[in-house]
Amino acid sequence: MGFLFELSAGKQQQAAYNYNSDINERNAQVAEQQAEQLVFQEEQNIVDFRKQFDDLQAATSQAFRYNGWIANEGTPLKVALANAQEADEEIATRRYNAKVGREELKEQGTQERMQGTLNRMYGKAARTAGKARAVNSLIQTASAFASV
Amino acid sequence: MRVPTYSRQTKATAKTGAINFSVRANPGALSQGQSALAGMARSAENAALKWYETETKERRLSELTAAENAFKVQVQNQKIASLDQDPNTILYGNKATGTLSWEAQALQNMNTLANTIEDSKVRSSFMISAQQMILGERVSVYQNARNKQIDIAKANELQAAELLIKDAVQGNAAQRAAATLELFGGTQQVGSPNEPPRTVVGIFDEMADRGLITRTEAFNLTKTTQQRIAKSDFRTRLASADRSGNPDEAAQLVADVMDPKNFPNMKPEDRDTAFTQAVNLEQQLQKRAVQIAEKNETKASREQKNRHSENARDIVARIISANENPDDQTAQSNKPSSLDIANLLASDGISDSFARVAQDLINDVDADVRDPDLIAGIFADISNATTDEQIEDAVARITPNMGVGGTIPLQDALSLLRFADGKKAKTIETTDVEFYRQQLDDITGATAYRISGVGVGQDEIFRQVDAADTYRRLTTDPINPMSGRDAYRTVVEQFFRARKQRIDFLAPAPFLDEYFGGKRPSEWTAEDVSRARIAITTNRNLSQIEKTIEFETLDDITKLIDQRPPPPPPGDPQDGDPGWSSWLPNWWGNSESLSDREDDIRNPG
Repeated sequence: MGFLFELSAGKQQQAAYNYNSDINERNAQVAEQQAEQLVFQEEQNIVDFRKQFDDLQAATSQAFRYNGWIANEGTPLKVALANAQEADEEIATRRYNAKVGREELKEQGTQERMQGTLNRMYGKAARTAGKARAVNSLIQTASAFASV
Repeated sequence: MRVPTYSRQTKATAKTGAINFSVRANPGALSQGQSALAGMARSAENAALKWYETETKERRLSELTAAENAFKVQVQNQKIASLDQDPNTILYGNKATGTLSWEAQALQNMNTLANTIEDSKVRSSFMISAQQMILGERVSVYQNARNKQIDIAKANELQAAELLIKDAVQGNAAQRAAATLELFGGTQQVGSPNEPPRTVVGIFDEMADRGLITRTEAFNLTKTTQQRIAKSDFRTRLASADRSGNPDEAAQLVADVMDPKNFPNMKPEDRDTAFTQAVNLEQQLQKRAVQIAEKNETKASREQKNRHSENARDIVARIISANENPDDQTAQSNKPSSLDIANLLASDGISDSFARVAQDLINDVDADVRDPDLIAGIFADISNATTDEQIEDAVARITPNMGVGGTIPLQDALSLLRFADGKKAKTIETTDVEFYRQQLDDITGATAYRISGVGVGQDEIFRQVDAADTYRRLTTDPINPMSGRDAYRTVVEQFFRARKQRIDFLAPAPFLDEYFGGKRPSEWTAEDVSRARIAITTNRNLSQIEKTIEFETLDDITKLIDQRPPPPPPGDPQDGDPGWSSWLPNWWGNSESLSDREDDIRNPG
C-alpha cells in the first residue's frame, strides 16, 4: 500500500511547484506592467515639466523686460535658449532614466518567469520521483514477499 | 529684478537597465525524479540479485544435502555390512578377492558420487563433508573390527581352554598332566634330566600377554578353572560311588571331601555343597540297600498272595460249577476235594483261612447272611484301586468273610475275585464298569454323601446302597455279566423310580408285573410274596444270581408290608387323600393322591 502514498506525495509536490510557478508568472506580469507604468508616468511628468518651464521662460522674459531688456534678442535670447537647452536635456535625461527603470522591471519579470519555469520543472521531477518511489516500494514489497 | 534661469535637475542614471538574476536551479530538486528512478532501478536490481542469490544458494544446498544423504546411506550400509565381514578385510582389504578396505571403499563411493555433481562449489562442499563423515565412521568401524579380531582370538583361546579342561577332567593321567600344564603353566622336563626344564606359560596368562584379556581376568579365569576342575573331580568320584551303589565308597568320599588337603582348589561353598551331596549319597545308598532287601521280600510276598488268590479263585469257581451243575460229571469230577485243599495248603498254594473256608464250601456250607454294604465296599475298593497291592488288599478282605459265619456268599466272592482279575488285567470291560460305577455314584448322590455326609435321608442311603449293589451284581454276574453302560442305565432307571415311589429298594418293573399281577403297592400282601417266592424257586429260566436278587427284592417288599399301618375303618378319610384345603387343585386336576402315586409306580415315566 505504501506505493499509493508515494504516488500521491509526488502529485502533491508537483501541485505545490505549479502553484509557485503561477505566482512567478503573475509577478512577471506585474513587473512588465510596472515598467510600462513607469514610462507613462515619466511622460506625464515631462508634460508637467514643460508647463512649468514655459512659465519659467515667461518669467525670465518678463524679468528681462522689466529690466529693460528686449526679451527676444541678444542676451535674453541667449538666456532663453540656454534655459531651453537645459530643459531639453532634463527631459532627455528623464526619459532615459524611465527607460532604464522600465528595462529593470522587465528584467525582474523575466526572472520571475524563469523561476516559474524552474518550478514547473521541479514539479514534474517531483511527480516522476513519486512514481519511481512508488514502483520502488512495490519492488521491495514483492521482494520481501518472494523471500518469505 | 532678478532674471530666473533654469539648470537641469535630473542626472542620467548610472543603471544599465539589467539586473543580476537571483534565480538558481536546485539540482537536487530537479534531479529527484531521475534519482528516484535510479533508486528504483537499484531496488529492482537488488531484488533480482537477492532472488538469484537465494535461488542459487537453495539449489546448491539442496543438491549438497541430497548428495550427503545418499552418501550417508551408503556409509551406513557399508558399516552394517562390515559387521559380517572379516575384520582383516575391513582393516586392510583383500587383494586376493579384490575387496577394498572399508575406508578405500568409502572413498571410492564418495568419488563416484562426487562425479555426478555438476556444480563445482557443491562438489567441493560435498567432498569436505563426505570426508568428515568417513573419518567419523572410520573410527567406529575400525574399532569394531579390532574388537572383533580380539573377540575371535579370545573365543579361540577360551575354546582351547575348554578342551584342555575337558582333558583335565575326563582324560587319563597323561592327558590330565598335559592339560593341567597347558592350562596353568609350570615347568616340564624334556629330554635328559641334565637339560633345564621347559617353562610353559598357562593359556590364560598367554592370553593376557597378547592383550586379549586383562591380568585380572586371567587370574580370575585361572582360579575359576581350577575350582571347576576340582568340582568336576569330586563329581566324577560322586558318580562313581553312585554307580557302584556301595555306601562305603560314598562314606570314603565324605571323609575325603572333609579334608582340605583333598580337592585343594575347591571353593569353600562348593566344598560344603559337595560334603552335603556326599552325605546324601551315602544315606541314599544305604537306604537303597535296605529297599532292595525289602523289595525282594515284598516280591516274594506278592507272589505268594497272587498264588493264593489264583488258587482260591479256581477252587471257588470249581465248587460253584459243581453246585450249579449237579448232573454234569465233568463239573462234579472237577470239584476240589479235601485232599486237594490239604495239598494246596501244604505247598503254600492257599492260605490257612481260605483252606478252612474251602473246606466249608466243599461241604455246601455257604455264608448264611449277606452283607450288601460290605460287598459293595469291597467292589468299590477294587474299582478305586490304582495299584495291584491295593487290589490285593481289597481281595484279602473276601476270604475271611466267606463260609460259616461269613457275610459274603460264594457267588459274590467269585464275582469279586473275577472283577479283581479284570481290574488287574486292565480290561476294557473292567475300565468301563469302573467308569459307570463312578457315574452311578455321582448321579445317585452317593459320592456327595460320601464326601459331605449330610443332606441325605435314611431311605436315600438305602437306595444308594441298593443301587451300588445291584450295579455290581449285574456287571459281575459269573454267567451273563451286563456291560457297565447297560447296567448303569438299568440301575439309574430303577433308582429314580424307587425314589419317586418312596420305596427304599430298587425293583425292576417286569418283576412287579409278573409276581404281583399289576397290583398297587398298597394292595401287596404277604400271600402275594409267598406265591412269588415259590414261582422264583421253581423257575428254571432264572440263574442262581438272578434268583438271589429276586429273593432279596421280595425280602424288601415283605419289610414294606410289615411296616405298613393297618388300614383305617371304612368311611374314614383314607391315607393319602387330599385335605379339605386342596379341593380346588384336586378339582382342577393336580391330584397327588396315593392312588395316583401307585399308578405312577405301575406306569413309570
